[in-house]
Amino acid sequence: MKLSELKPGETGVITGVSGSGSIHRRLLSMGILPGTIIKVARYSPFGDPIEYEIRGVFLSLRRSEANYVEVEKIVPLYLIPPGEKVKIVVLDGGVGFVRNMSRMGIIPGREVEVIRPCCPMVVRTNLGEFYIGRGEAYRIYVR
Amino acid sequence: MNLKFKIGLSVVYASILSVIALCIGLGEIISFIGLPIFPSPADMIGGFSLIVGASLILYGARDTIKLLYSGLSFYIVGIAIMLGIGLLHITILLADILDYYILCIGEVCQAYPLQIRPEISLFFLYLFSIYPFLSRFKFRREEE
Amino acid sequence: MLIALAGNPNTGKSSLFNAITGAHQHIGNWPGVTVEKKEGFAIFEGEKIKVVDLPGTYSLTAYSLEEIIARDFILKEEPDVVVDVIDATNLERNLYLLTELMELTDRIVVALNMFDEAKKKYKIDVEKMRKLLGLPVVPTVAIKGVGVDDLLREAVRGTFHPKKIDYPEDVEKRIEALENLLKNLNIKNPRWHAIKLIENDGEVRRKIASLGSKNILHMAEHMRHEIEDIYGDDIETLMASFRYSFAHGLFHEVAVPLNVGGVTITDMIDHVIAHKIFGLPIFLVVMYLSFQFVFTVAAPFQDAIDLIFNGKDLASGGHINGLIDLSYNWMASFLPAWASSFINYGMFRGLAAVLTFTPIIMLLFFILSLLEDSGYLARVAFLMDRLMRKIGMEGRGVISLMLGFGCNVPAIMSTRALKNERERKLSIALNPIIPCGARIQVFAFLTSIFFKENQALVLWSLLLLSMAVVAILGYIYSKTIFKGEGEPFVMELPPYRVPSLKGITIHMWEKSEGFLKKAGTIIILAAGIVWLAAALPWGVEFGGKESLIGQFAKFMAPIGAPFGITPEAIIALFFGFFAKEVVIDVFSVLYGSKDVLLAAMSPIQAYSLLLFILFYTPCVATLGAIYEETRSLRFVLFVILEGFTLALFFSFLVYNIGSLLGVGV
Repeated sequence: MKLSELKPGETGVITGVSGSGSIHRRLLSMGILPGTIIKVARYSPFGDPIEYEIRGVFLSLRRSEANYVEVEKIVPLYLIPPGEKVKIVVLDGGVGFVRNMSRMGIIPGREVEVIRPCCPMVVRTNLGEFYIGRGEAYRIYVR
Repeated sequence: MNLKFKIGLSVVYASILSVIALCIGLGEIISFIGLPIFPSPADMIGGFSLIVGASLILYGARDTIKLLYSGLSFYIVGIAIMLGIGLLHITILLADILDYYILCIGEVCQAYPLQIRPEISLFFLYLFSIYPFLSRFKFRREEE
Repeated sequence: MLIALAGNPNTGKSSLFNAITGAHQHIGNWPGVTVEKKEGFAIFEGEKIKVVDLPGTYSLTAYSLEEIIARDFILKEEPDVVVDVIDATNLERNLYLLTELMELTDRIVVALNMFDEAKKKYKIDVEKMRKLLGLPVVPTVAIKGVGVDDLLREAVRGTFHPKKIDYPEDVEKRIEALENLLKNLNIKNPRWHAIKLIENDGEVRRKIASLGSKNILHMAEHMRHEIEDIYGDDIETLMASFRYSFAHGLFHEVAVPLNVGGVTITDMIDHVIAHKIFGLPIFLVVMYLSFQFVFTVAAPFQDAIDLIFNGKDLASGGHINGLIDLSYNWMASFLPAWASSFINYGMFRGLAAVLTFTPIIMLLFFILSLLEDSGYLARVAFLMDRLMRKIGMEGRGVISLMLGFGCNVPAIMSTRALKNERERKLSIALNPIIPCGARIQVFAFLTSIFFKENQALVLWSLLLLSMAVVAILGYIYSKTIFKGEGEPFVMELPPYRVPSLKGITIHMWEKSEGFLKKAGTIIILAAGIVWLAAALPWGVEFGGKESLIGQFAKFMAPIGAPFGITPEAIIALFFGFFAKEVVIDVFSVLYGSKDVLLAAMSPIQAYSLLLFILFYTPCVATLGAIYEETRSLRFVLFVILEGFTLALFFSFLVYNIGSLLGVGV
């Protein structure tokens, strides 16, 4: 879906950046790249431009510019209620974080089930049941 | 006195002040248009500002009592605006006094006709309602 | 020793530059372009260090002037050290430029600026960062001057063993192959050139082509296509992604976010500022508070300056001599009266006029700097972008329009913030229509006499009309004369911060200085000319019917009639050309008392006059500022023409329709 279709509060992971010329370059240099997590902070009163949170920074983009960005909608784990099965899409962290998560079986592509809601959460992966702290639950994104 | 009680008290106090401010604001606008209902200064945008600030406070009041961030946001912006308006009028008063005496040089002048606008009184009264802002770390988000 | 300061925009680079160089700085332009260049020097441990502030950029591509200037400087001038000023609160994004810099030069010192704010957001392991980068890293707080000495020490004595940034294997081997070929061409930094060639960098391609190596270019192109095929994306996106993964990885190794998922004050405030219903009203309130503040605080200063220079006519009938009177008397003792009068009541008066509006200018810039440094201005641009686009500008343009209500000169100067030339010119063309404080004072004066009962209403009608004309004209211009592409609006919204008083004051002085020099000289000259026009030919009554102005007015009378403008009004308008407030003085002089004035014009004539004053031509200072910003006499003439056309149009329309309908005759 297009980035401009995400609603305030929703998060997406970027799958493609199209457009050409100065707009394309500007998007790239601001870090709007495939694989990046982007969250919609709010819309302007007129619905345009839109404020996004990306890499810890707040950026504003016009709707027409956001149309150039393809995203896949994702949700942070901490919002998932108990009983739901979700698929891990992306982890927001460095090598250390990714390693710790993989030891629990939390790897992009795998499925997990939420046993206890945030926080701390309990999830069941193919490797067993694990506690997920608040800080971690905010950085694991699922579909 | 626990937290919730203190916050509730501040919010209720601020809300009452805001209702008064709303009326004063309306009065200022009405005076501007020319219908002398109130003895208030005739100032369309001044009145409008009071109404904006007061409505923000009232809009966020309920959620602030519930200790939600969504409410606190409106509450503190509203209070900030009211304090800003008050500060402005204090500054205007001081500048006006200074100007009056400068223009009086060489003349025989009466003492300055001191008029305290309601916004200035509101400023001091609103200072007592900033407690929720100071306790902002105790608030929580909607979804939690 | 030569140090270059590089970094993203808004990282506090200028504060750091100021902290290092202090008063020893010089601001000019990079040769041949309108980009500002700041140079300075500092003495550190006995060594003289020359510092150059490069333009702020997000990357080092060949696509914008700023980027080309920055990278060319590093390539050609080979500074001993490049300091990358990083906004530590925005670490990941800022590290991207660092990766590009690291490919350009080995000798980099990283300044982690705004470190005090960053500490609240992340726990940063500076030592680890040094190890991972192989470069000196110094935490700084430039506005407070913290860390500056450490920074300079590292620059002078630090060791640089930068880690190489590795691209994926298949890209890396191609880069190395190109690099080897380029080594034969004897250019500096072959690896950087190789990387840029693969990225299809226009400037580097031109450079290699001029060296005659077409085959290298072909090879690079071939390699680029190969890489694009392997990864399935265009080369620019790919290379940016590779660099960002390095930045991303480094970021997560050295910084741990504190308070994940917490709500910041910035978030809370923005929640309200950008609210569907409350957003715009809050903006209006902020504007109201700002302007009220400026005008009321300026008033006592203006009156004081007026008193000092012009003296005062006492109610009791006497007169206090001001500096100008005293100077006149003194000069008249050794110069002929006319010369003393020319110097004092002409030019010196002009200087006094400039000084009288200086408080307003300074306060306007103070408020502007306050709003900008606090971060609110970015929100204004965010809010107003949609509306602004309808009239051909972008969000940031609303600020110069708003400033126009204070004074058109700083407003026009502020258009520099608009990157796009076309938008800038459009903004400058529209600005004079906005009635500045001086014009509003004239309106207040006239309406208090002619429209006593409905004064506020009439004033508002004028203001609203001017805004409507700006909107309509903007829309028309954007579709015709100033038609074209806009800039990408990808704009950063910095966190709110309490701006430092020192910072605001510095910004205020910088901007005010410009105004004083430009407007000052013009107004003083204009004052001299006006004096001459009122005093010549010799011996006539000053400003009376026989003087040049008087004759001019008599000549223009029949032209003014269909617009309902009396000859006296024409004189006033003429004087208003050099400073609008003077119109009030002229009316007082020509008519003596308010009742005489009231009787001299019918209400409809008065309203027509008001409309004429609203539009006709901006004051000399404004025209001077316009020339300064556009360097085009044609543009200045355009603005004058625009003004007169609107003025004549509206005056004519209102006066004649009004007379026809028998309204206010």
